[in-house]
Amino acid sequence: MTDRAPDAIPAHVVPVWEISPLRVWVLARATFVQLVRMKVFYFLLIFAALVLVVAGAGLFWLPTEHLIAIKRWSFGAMYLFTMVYSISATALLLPRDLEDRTLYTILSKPVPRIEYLLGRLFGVLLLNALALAAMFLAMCLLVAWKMPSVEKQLVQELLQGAGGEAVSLNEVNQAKADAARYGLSTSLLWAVWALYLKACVVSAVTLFISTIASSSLFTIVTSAMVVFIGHFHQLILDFWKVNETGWFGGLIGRLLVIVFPNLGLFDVVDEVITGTELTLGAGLQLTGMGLFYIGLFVLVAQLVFVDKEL
Amino acid sequence: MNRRWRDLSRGPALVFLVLLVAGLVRAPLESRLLRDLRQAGFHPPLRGSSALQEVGVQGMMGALGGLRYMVSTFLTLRANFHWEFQDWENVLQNYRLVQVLEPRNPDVWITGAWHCHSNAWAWYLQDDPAHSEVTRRLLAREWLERGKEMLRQGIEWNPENPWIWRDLANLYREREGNLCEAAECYRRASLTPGAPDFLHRIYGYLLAQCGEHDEEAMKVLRGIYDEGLEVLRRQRVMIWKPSLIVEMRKLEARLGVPPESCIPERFDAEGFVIATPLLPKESLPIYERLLEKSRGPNPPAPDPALATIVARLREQLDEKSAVP
Amino acid sequence: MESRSHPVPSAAQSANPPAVLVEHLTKVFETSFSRAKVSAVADLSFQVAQGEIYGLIGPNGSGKSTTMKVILGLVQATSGRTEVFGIDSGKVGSRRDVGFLPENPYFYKHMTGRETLEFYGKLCGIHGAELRARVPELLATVGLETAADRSIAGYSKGMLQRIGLAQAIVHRPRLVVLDEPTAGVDPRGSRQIRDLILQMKAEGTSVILCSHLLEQVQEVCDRAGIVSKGRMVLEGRLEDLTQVEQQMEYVVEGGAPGLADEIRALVERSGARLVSSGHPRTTLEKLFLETTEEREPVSGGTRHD
Ligand SMILES: Nc1ncnc2c1ncn2[C@@H]1O[C@H](COP(=O)(O)OP(=O)(O)OP(=O)(O)O)[C@@H](O)[C@H]1O
Ligand SMILES: [Mg+2]
Repeated sequence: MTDRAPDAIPAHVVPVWEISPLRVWVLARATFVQLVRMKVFYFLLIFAALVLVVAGAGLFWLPTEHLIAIKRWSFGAMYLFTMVYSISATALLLPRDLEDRTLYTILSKPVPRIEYLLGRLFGVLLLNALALAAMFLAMCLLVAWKMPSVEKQLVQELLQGAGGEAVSLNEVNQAKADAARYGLSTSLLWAVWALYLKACVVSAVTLFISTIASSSLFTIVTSAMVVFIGHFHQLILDFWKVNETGWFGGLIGRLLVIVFPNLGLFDVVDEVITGTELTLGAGLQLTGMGLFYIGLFVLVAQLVFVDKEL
Repeated sequence: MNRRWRDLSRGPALVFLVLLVAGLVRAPLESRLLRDLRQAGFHPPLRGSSALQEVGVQGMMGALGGLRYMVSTFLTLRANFHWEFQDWENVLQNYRLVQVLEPRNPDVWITGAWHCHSNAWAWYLQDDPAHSEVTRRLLAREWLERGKEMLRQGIEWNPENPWIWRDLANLYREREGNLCEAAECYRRASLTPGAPDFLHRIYGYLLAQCGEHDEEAMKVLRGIYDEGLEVLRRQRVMIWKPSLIVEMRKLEARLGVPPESCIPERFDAEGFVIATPLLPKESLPIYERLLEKSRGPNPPAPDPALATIVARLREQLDEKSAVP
Repeated sequence: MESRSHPVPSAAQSANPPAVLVEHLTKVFETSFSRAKVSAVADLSFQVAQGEIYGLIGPNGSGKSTTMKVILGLVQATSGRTEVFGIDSGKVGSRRDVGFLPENPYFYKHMTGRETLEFYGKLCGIHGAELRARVPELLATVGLETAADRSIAGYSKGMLQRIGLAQAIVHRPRLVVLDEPTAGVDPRGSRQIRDLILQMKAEGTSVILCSHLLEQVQEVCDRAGIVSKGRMVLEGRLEDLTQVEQQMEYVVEGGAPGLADEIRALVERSGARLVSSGHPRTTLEKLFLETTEEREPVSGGTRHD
């Protein structure tokens, strides 16, 4: 059997600077429109209903509890939305294009394969961004609306806590500052940004897997597994420090940690909700890590896709 | 062989290699990020003793991913539902789950324990229709212990939170009358980072009231007093609370402090301002009540020092109402 | 015997390269389950000159579509090479001037016909006013004006084929590759497509046409190749491959050497004109059936065995 002709090897590879942002945008927009026409935004109605129920229900004893619940359910819904859509929307795109042979017509245009991948990815990211922004905004409005009652509660608690004695202004201010940690903060913005970054990474991972897989179902299942394992990173790492594992277990664990993305790293929402501050430095590092992962998985997706037989 | 090998080296093997290299490159970056995040209070690490137990908890968290907090609020709701029907066992069970899900949230320990040591406790003492008086006392006692235990666990998970200590202290003070233990808890609370000042103050009061550590109590209260004196001299602002005067007077009497070292009867800084209490109109009655309480049997007159302060507070209020 | 193979320009003439160059193309598919190998194309070579219309015909599964996919860089050659206007098919640049209509094309069903054309136009770098002018023009060309704003999901097979043809030529490519463009299209539509191809030819566009409708190939193609089992079995100018059917042919077997001269003289004497003499001609259909049925092939055209 003859070897592949040498000049056929650099197939479809274009230098990065030849990627046309305009074409990527055309593809991304088409992807976005495609997803929107699949009626994904109906989820937002469910979200609105859920959050309003949580916000309006007199189910909570304390305003602080209530506020935390609003934030948690909002963030929980955001998380659910971004994860489900990042995986399923991305998994639908490429395998379906392959199956429907729409890829033939797209890639027979002067469209480098990397542009196709980027366009698909950005379409999903755009969808996630808009949906997250809408949900976040809704949550902020609710929180702002509920804030006064929290301040009142905390000052009240202070009065009771000080042992039947008047408290100083200083202490009142302290209580108010304490109330602020239940309210809106820049950390909350970081939290939603981290959530978004994680969703982007998951989309990129799913895109990569969809280049290997031939069916949407396989892509969804595999991506869900990767996302699952990605949350165990910290556990595996910490486990080593306190436990002796055999060389085999150690090797497997190490490999998992090295090859799989560390998605748990982006889970800062929970602590932020209860008032922990995320510093600018950590936020930027988190952003860098997210971009690194996205770049990495786009790269490997391209490595697989560039040679793929359609 | 050639082609097969080359295909392999360009396909899966290359991808694996890239992922491997990227993993090695990002490892140090990631551990630095993790360190920074941990410093800021995120991603708490495993702690030695209860490591294995935590692996279980964290494993569960991993499994639930970003949804665990939704689950836990749901469980809180369920607990509140059971509370409506005084179904204390179920309230407890739901809170235990919530605490497994978010052990680092002090609120879940405080609220869970509050259901035990206050709600269930009171219900068994007063409202339980099913049991005899003796049994009810026993049951109430049992729920009190559960609450106590829960607070202790909460402290283990959140050693830097003052409020769990505070609740434990109040439990000792109000339910058991154990002022010494309560004082100790306030001391621990006041040592946590960022604890408000009044925790230290109440520690001093309780230490004074418990009667077993008078000298230690005197030292603590004297410290607060001296600090306030400094502020009074420098800024003509009175930051003492009336209880400080009341408790110190009692200690002075018990310890037999010579008159020259006692709190003076009058403060020479004329026209000082009393650090604006939260709501001056509301705090005046509190001050007056304390003044009334300060009437010792011998002589049966209100404490003169406290009287000066209250007089000054009245003046201050008049000055305020004069300026609309 | 005269040679019927068309003299093709050498690939080395890069100043004016052929529209398509296929050289010793071999494609072996490895099926994923059994890893059994399917040889789709075997050592196939041909060229399409600029401005030429080339027909590729052959039985089902003979490797026509595979060849086109390789030309468009959708599938990689196992060995051999393909070029489009002198650029290797592997390079993105080779597709700048190509329009492709795949067999049984399918498009995003969430788009309307108009949006589909706009989408592909934008991918080819056409924007703004140019695109707005081009799309209605194309819709008219393929006769889809009335369905333009309906969702693709509701398009019939023939309508899909038409929209596919429109997207293939949206950027006025210099080479159009059509894989069974008339499959499922009604006779009127087929005629329109044929006219369109002829019009493209008039404009100097090169076309590779893959079709089972041999009459159509016969009507529009300058040259044609017949492939069977991935190999080129016969290739040549259409006029050479087939002959004018109204003419009379006498098939003589075992005539003496002087017989031909005698016949010629006889014809002249009767007042008729001898148009040509030689070996018997056939229709493309006959040729197709004969060459691909592994019988003793009829002579005529260049053998590529
Ligand atoms: N992706 C693939 N994987 C495996 N085998 C394939 C693949 N694509 C094509 N083949 C095989 O290659 C051979 C040629 O197929 P091709 O589609 O090129 O035929 P064709 O000439 O276009 O046929 P038709 O006239 O039916 O369209 C067939 O045997 C087919 O089964
Ligand atoms: Mg075909």
